[in-house]
Amino acid sequence: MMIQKDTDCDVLVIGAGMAGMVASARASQLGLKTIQAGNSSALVFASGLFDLLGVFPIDSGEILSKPYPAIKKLQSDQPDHPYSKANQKQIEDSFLFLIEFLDSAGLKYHLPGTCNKQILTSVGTFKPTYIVPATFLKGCDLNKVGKNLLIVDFKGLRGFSAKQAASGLGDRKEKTHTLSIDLPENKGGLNPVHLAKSFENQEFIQKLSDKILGFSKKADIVGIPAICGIQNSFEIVKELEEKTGMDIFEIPGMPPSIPGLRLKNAFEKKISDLNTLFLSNAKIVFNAMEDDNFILQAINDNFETRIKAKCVILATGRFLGKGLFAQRNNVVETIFNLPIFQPKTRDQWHQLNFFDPKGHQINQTGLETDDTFRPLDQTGEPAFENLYAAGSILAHNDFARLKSGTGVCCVSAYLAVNNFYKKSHKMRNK
Amino acid sequence: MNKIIETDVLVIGGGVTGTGIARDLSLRGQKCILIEKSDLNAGASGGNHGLLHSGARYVGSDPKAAVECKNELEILKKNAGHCIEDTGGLFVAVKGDDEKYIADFPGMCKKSGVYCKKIDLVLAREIEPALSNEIIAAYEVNDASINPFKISIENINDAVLRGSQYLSFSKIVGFKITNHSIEYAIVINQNNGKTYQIKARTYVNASGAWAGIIAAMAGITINMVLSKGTLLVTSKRMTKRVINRLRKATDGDILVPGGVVSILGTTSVRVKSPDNIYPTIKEVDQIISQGEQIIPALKTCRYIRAYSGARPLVSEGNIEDDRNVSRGFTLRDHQKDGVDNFITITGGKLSTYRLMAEKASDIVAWKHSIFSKCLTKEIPLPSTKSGEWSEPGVPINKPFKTETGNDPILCECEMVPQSAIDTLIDSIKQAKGKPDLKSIALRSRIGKGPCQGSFCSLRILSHMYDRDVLQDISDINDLKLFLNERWKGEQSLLWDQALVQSSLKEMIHSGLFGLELIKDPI
Amino acid sequence: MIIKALTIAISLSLIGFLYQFFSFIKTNKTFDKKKWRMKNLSIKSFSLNSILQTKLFKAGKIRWLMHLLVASGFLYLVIFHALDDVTSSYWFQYYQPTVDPFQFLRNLAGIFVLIGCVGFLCRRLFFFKKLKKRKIQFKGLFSILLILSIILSGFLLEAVKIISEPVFMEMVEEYSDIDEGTDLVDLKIYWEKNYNAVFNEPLLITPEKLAIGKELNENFCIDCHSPIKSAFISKSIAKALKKPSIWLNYHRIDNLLYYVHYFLCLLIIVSLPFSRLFHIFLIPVASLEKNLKKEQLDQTLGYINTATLYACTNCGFCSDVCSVFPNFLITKNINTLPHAKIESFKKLMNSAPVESKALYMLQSGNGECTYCHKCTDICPSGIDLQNLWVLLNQKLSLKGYQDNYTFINNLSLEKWAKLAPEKEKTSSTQGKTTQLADNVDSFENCIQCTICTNVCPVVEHDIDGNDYTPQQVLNLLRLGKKHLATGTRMVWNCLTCFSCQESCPQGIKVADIMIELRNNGNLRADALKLENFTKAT
Repeated sequence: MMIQKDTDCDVLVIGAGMAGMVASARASQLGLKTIQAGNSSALVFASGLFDLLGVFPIDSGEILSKPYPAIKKLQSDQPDHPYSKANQKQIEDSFLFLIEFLDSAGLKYHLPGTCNKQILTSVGTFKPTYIVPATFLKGCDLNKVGKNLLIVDFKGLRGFSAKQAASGLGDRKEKTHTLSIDLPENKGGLNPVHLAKSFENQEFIQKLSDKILGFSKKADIVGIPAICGIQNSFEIVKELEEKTGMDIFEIPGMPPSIPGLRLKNAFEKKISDLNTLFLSNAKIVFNAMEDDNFILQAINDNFETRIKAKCVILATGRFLGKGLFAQRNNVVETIFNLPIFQPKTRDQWHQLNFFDPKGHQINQTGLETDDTFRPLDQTGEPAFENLYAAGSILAHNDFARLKSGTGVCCVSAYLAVNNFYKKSHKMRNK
Repeated sequence: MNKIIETDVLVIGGGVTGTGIARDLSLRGQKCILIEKSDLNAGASGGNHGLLHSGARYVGSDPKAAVECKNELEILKKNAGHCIEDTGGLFVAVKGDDEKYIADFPGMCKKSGVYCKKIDLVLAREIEPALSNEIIAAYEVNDASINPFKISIENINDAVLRGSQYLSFSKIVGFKITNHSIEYAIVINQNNGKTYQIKARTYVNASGAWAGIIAAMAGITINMVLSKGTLLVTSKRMTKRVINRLRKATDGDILVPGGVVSILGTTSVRVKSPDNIYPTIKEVDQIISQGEQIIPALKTCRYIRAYSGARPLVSEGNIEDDRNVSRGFTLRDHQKDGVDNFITITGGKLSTYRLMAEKASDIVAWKHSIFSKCLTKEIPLPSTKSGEWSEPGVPINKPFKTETGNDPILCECEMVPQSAIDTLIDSIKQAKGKPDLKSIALRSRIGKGPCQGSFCSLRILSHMYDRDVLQDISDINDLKLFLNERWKGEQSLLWDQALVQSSLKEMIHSGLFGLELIKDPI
Repeated sequence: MIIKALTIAISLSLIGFLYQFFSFIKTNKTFDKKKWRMKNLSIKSFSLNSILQTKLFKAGKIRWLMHLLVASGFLYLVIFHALDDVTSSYWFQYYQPTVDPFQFLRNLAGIFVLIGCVGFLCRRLFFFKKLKKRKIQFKGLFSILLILSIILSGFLLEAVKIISEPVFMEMVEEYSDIDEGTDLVDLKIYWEKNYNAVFNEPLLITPEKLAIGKELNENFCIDCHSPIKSAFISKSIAKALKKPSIWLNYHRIDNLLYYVHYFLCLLIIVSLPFSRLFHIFLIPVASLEKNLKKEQLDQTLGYINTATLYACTNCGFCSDVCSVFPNFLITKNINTLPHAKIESFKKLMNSAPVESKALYMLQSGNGECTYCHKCTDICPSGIDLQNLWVLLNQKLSLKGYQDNYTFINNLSLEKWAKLAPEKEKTSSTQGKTTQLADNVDSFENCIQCTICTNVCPVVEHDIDGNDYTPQQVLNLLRLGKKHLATGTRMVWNCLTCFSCQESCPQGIKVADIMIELRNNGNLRADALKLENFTKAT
């Protein structure tokens, strides 16, 4: 029983991960009629930290403290990298846009400076990142500051051990304390989302504060797993700080990530406010071009929508997002069948050491684009006049190794939409 | 002064043969110490098809091995039923296979006394719908599927119960030979680097592919031919029975069901050393292209991991095709080589481990003037609690929720709860081992499911920190080692869904946690 | 003798009343009285429903009209005709059955009842056609047919009396001084023409004779016999009976019909406490108590006044509107429908021995009830049906007949796992089925991210203590433990909110699989129960 609908739009954003969300946010803000199709659960894998560039060159084995000089070098060494299609101002603008957008949705991120920050992770390692949520701010660069630290965990919250996180500051054992909170309601195995919801309960906050207060003499600053509420996380953390009299910061851990869920909720709400039509879980099928418009179908279990779009932003992600599909010996792009930059044979895809400093070649596969982020066809020309690609689907960017994930998503999506907007305005003004 | 441990028999090598010998001798009243340089089934015993041969595969090439398999099959089915699934088997040929071999097959089976029965092609496809439409012949045989991890665990548990000892991560570095016999063995504890001595009346070299290396320490030469075989694990069980290719043995001939998955293999690649072998992409593609000829779905199905094992074969000279080296086992009493109390048992196959253990134990017993016969034919292999954790899906047959309900599942894919991990940590500690992700993985199913350690590694690791089993940031290398161990099996088959899973793994462990930036300990 | 018979009939009837009364009290004792029902009395609903039949009116205006015809017609006939010795003749000095307006009213009342009864019958036939059953329940039709036969025999009696020559002669002898002769003939002529009497000998009608006859009639007859046209039904029947009139008169069928008619009336008196007609007394009793509203399901009283159950007239309206009528068409289990359930409940209360298979079918049918309250809303008798279904569930559960949710919940997961169907004990191999849970492709792409578990409200609130999370249920399937999965709390507590399926990054149909597993569990539990019951019998 399929409901058939027909609709049209200026911009169709395919994908609801970081890049897709930035693209539809920017497009709707610019007043373009926007439709977005995808599964926003992808954001639940996002740590909530916004990377710009954390490691360069890829095999340096060192964390960068200043990303922009490294980006300059990257741009000259690798003209094919997505960052090479933007200048510093554009990169800064795209992040500013993102932060303001999220702020207007009630999700506070702090404004970046020129340096990367080092964030303590749940396994005790330090991750370099560029922008953090406001609730993470006070925990930045702990390894550089000599504060007395308390790390809290929750019994039953699997994968997060205060002792393990504290081991990252092992050289300061005396200054680092741990506290394991045992919740009576816990029946064995707390799920992060459910635990995060408890933070919205006053009684719970009080109980938690009371327990932490026990360490008020021993510690100045408290690290807590990143589960302090789903809505209003900033206010909740503030309240905890007031009640305990100590600074509090959140520590990121393995997915499902609550900061990622906060991003998802903020984007969804704001985009809906801006009247973007969001087709949840719809699969996009490209039918044909009609004049200069794309004719596509969005299909999910309940309906089938025929869409006529002036511009398409392809932000479908990589293998996890299903933007790319790996057959046994070949990687293909799943919607437009665009040519993919990739190694010749499968035995070149991966190294024998999972942690090989050079990274795995397969992570650099993807779409190559022109300077305005339009993917290229076999001849090296843009495959379609108004088809843009953004995010992790772009080639030459091993975002896990370079720690450049959000940066590439944000910059490419923001600029792709801007580029289309400029072009379509120029056309109109002619 | 080095510590000296005394015992009746020192068995070297913790595979099915070594553990089998430890049990056999324990049943005859001998105290054994089984030492193993890593942990149980680290060699071929941990990298095989899990196939309990009916013998039909060897009727042409190696009739002696065929008969041995056939006999052992019956014994094991009777005595170790809880480690075996009696699946039955088929031999199937497709268009283009050697017609003469097909024609000779039933006769050869008969000659070796191996059961085989011709079945109608329509019936064959009815009972095994996965078979190709192009099959031209089908025979029914008595193959079965066996869990070698369970076999080893039950063997050693029984031996320990009878007074023997198991020392893992203990490596032999040399023998002290005095007057044509070994006075003691010099062993290094890989956990703490300390060396000590083990003094035994007789020393049994059951180290499989490492037999040559061990024998060399006693000044004895054994020509080992190491043949690596790679195997693929599918995400779902493809067939009910074991499916064999009805042709002269070559690559990708066999598909063995193992619980809820199937195992497809294998290859034969000469390697120099049994250490550090892993599946290659070339092997994987070769296996699949052969397998898909009898079972077309193998071309497109999902594979969750691959692994390799080195076959320990002993040769007498230059051999071209390793498959032509006898699969029968080699048992040498080195008295004739000048060392009176040293024997080597190697070669052979998983299916005949009990027989190998029997023969080796017979020699030891004779040397010790013990007249008790081998009892492993009569006394069935017991089933113990820790042995059960190695079986897929077992945890959920038992109520794992404790009364308080406070027993979270740490490995979701394979349903392994925290209490199981605690049991294993304690048992490893008891055996004076060092509990880490690798050793826990060996004794359970963690990381063997679809996520290949993406999530469970972190949950188990954090639990170990909570329990103070791990303490420093350097212990994070445990995670890296574990992930790389799983990677050995994954990297050759990362396409389709497997690639999705491993890219998620990389996003977490590299993207978020930056583990590649942690320097490996020197 | 007639009086004697009447006395016996009335006594029997009274004994019947008492018997029923005491048996109601007895069965009422077997319920737990959790609340004192006096609180729920409603004089308003009592008066409206008893006197005006408001519920029946709501159910259908035509139905109400039919009932009004029967009720008013029969009431008139009972009061003014059957009991005319103590009523009509007492109140009206000029009363005679053959005098207007009584003759007319009697015929009118008769036709009212006739039309109403025919209406009832038609409706019932239509209802049974809807049930696709030909067998018509005896109890339901007994009362209607009895009333109908009373009316028909009454009309017939009157008609036969009209044509009767012997009765005419008896009347002439008793009430006139006419002897044999021309006067008699003239009277006969007049009567033949104007009163549809039928005489053996052929009569020559002349205007003079007619005039004399008329005069005679006015002298002797007219005070008690109004013109025949007011007996508009009986006179038409009399006309039709002209042909066999000789035979009828000769055999004095009028007497026979009198006894038949009387006997039927006695029958209705005696059977009153045991037939559907008891509803006349019991509907007021049932209407006295307010029914529970749909939203008050959790306040079921654990108690029902048994008397109200006998207010059921088997009208079938409840089953007509039953939400799960389509389920009955598929399962063919009549105990899905309210009108059959109430009968079964009565049997259960009477401790009549019931086959375990029948109890199983009853529990299974009652289990389909969605408590939508439609049957209770429409029941013209005012019976609190919704309360009854909950009570039925409880009673059956105590006897060991439970709904599948309870049945599986009471078995531990270990025990359930041992009850796998034979087919599953062999491991599954390749081969696509339409069942999601049997097809590994449906769930093998799970990346174990636990998002489904995290968005599940059932896991969050952990009511009943959940055992497995949604992701773990899928893992159970992957590990070949489908049957075990069908017995998990998760599968049975699932709200089918679809949050899991909407959120899954891999597009796995988690909720669809949950529903399918629950269906599988249902089928298996039904099969197990049936096995147990067929073993027991």
